[in-house]
Amino acid sequence: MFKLKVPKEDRARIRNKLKIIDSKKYEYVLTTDKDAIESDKINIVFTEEQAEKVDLMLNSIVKGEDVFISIETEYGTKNVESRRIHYFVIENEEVMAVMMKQKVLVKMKLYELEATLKNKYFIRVSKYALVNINKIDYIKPAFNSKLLLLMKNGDKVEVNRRYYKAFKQTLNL
Amino acid sequence: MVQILEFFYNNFIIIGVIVVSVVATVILMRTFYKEFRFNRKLRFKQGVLRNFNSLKNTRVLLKSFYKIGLPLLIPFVFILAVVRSPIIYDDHIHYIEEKRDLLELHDAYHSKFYSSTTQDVDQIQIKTMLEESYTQSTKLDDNIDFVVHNDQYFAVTDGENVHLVDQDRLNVSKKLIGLSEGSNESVIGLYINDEILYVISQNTFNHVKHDADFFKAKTFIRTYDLESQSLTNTFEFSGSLTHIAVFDDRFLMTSDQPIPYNLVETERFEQYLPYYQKNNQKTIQSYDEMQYIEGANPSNYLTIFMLDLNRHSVSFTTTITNHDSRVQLSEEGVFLTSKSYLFKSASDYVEMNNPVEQDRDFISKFIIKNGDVSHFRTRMLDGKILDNGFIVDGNLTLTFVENEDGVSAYRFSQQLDIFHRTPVSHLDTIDTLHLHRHVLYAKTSADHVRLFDVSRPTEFSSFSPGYTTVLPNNILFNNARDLLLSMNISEDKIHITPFSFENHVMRHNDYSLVRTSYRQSMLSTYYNEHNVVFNEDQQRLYFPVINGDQVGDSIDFKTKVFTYEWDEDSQQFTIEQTIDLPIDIHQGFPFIYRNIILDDYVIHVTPLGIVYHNLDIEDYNDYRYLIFS
Repeated sequence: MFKLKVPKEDRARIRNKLKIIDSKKYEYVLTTDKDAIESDKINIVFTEEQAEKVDLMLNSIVKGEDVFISIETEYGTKNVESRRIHYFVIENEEVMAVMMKQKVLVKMKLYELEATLKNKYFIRVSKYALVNINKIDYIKPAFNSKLLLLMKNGDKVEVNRRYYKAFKQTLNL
Repeated sequence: MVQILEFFYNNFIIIGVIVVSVVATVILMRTFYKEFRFNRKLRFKQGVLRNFNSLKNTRVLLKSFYKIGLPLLIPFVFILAVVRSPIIYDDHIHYIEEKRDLLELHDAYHSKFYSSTTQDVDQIQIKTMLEESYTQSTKLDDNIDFVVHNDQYFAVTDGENVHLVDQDRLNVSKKLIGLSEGSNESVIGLYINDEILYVISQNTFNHVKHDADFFKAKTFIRTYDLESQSLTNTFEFSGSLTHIAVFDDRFLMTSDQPIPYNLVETERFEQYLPYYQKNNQKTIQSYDEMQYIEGANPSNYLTIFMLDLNRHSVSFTTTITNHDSRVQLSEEGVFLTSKSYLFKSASDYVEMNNPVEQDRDFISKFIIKNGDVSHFRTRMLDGKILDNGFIVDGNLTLTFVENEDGVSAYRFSQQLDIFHRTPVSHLDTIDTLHLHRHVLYAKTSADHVRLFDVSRPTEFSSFSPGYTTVLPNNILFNNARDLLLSMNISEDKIHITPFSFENHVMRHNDYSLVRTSYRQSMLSTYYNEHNVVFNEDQQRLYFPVINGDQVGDSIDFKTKVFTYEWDEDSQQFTIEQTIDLPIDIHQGFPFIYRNIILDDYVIHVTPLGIVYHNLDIEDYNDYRYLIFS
């Protein structure tokens, strides 16, 4: 998402302030050198002193790009940011969105959710589950070519053998 | 190969645990690595997605450490428990530091017997044993012989001269060494290794009976470079050589030297310390390098010498022990057995009629480690070892011990730990112990042979039926399946015995091959198995016989060589041909005959010369010969 272009000696320090990791595919260039801007990208030129403000701005950018999902609560339909959802799971033929402390009904099919969130941070891990990568706390490989995902809310989700390869590709493994 | 299999068999559980642990560790390590990679990539991915809460170091769960650590820990703990650091066995062994310690040992030992008859008996025995031990012949390894050869030369000795014959020129010989007539030195054996000939000789005291002369006994090993046919090194070793053998390019030797306590007040006492000398450089054993075996009579320096045949360096260790200690040399090292007294504690303070609380035997083992020979362990036994009742052969270290409970067989590990102790009935005397395959043959003085199964280290049992009167020793031929030809010489007969093995029980059929001719009784006193040669390729036996023909008042001795061919059907030898060796190379007593097959030639060798002829049996009497001058 982001590409940081700063002098080498300042790089680690500024990267920590902005809490980012460079990626090969990016849309935003963050730089302290105005000559380093890239014309086909969105460029943010800043000084190191402005790093804190840029950090807040990046939060907004990430949040602004989020997708909202309609969920059914006891108070009616409500839109929630997809990044708050840990995973979606099919239970009794209904799709449930699992968040930190609650599990709510979603009026969408799982494949529709997958298509909607494809370019986000969700990944299909089995016929019954779609997982938010950011909410995975730990990955435990099992002996039978399966993976067990320990989610940040304490749940465990299994990566099915059929989706194992795709999951590895997503993680660039 | 057999040793490797035996090692696996004996250590199956240990190896099994290690293999399983290693496999488990490898599998878990793979899982561990996979887990580490997955989570590292996950953190990276989360960082790219700017997950503000996930910028923490990738840590593998603690549980995973347990998963990896545990299988690693199992073999580690197991190996720690099984493979202990080398133990120094210093029980029953004492080290002295100076001459005074040695004299104190002597005084302490003899003061206990001051008023008892044991001392008198001991003193008489010492004198007798000294004479016996310093005039008896040295026990030689089979590799050390009067006739030896390599690809280019063969060397022959008659005890005084050493002749070298080039195999390409059988009609020319060179006298390499010739001892003068007045010399009291005699060659006892030769050994050939690569391009070096080793000539082993001793000084002899056949006509000298003074005690002091025993102290001067020494052994020489001279090395000759065969290419230049010149003397390269002269080694001198103190003491009367009792055993010599070659193992792994090393000479192992033991020598006895009585400790000259009667010369203690003179400078000569120091002159008779054990030593070796390489050319002109003499190395004397220092007191602080000597050990004393607890309860033994400190009457003798028993020195073990090791000569490295590659480096031509010497290592030696000296043990102060009884004059009648018995020695066995083996690839594992040197074993020493003898008597040790356990004294009553009061004997240190008062004179007692019988100060001995227990009379027992011990086994001491000396090993070669880092190029040095050194004491490894001494183990006391709860009884006396039967005469000839100790055998070391390959992995078998076994002794028959007699005490008030009767006779028991003790089998030892390499560390001299006892594998088992098994009572053995009806075995009071042993003439010879012999191991063949996994069967131990104990020949008793009653010409009876007991067979024991020693295939398992922790078990010992008699074979049933276990009766034979012949040992499968001096093996002429062994096809490892169903035929073993063994030769035994007794009195005026030579027995060639075919053995077959069926369920460990031997069928034997011994018979006398040749009766010696006129006046040739007591054949075994000058014949030995080296004189009878079996050529496996030809399946032919070369058997020399001395014939005595009366010519007028005198007897004209000649050597005939009979050749026999093995007949599979009748399981016996049939005579083929007779060769009359020329009178010039006939040699009487001691009788030495060797036979070497080289390419197309049969070469008959005696210390006086060689006879050679074509291998074709029709050309046997068309021979040429060379007399050593």
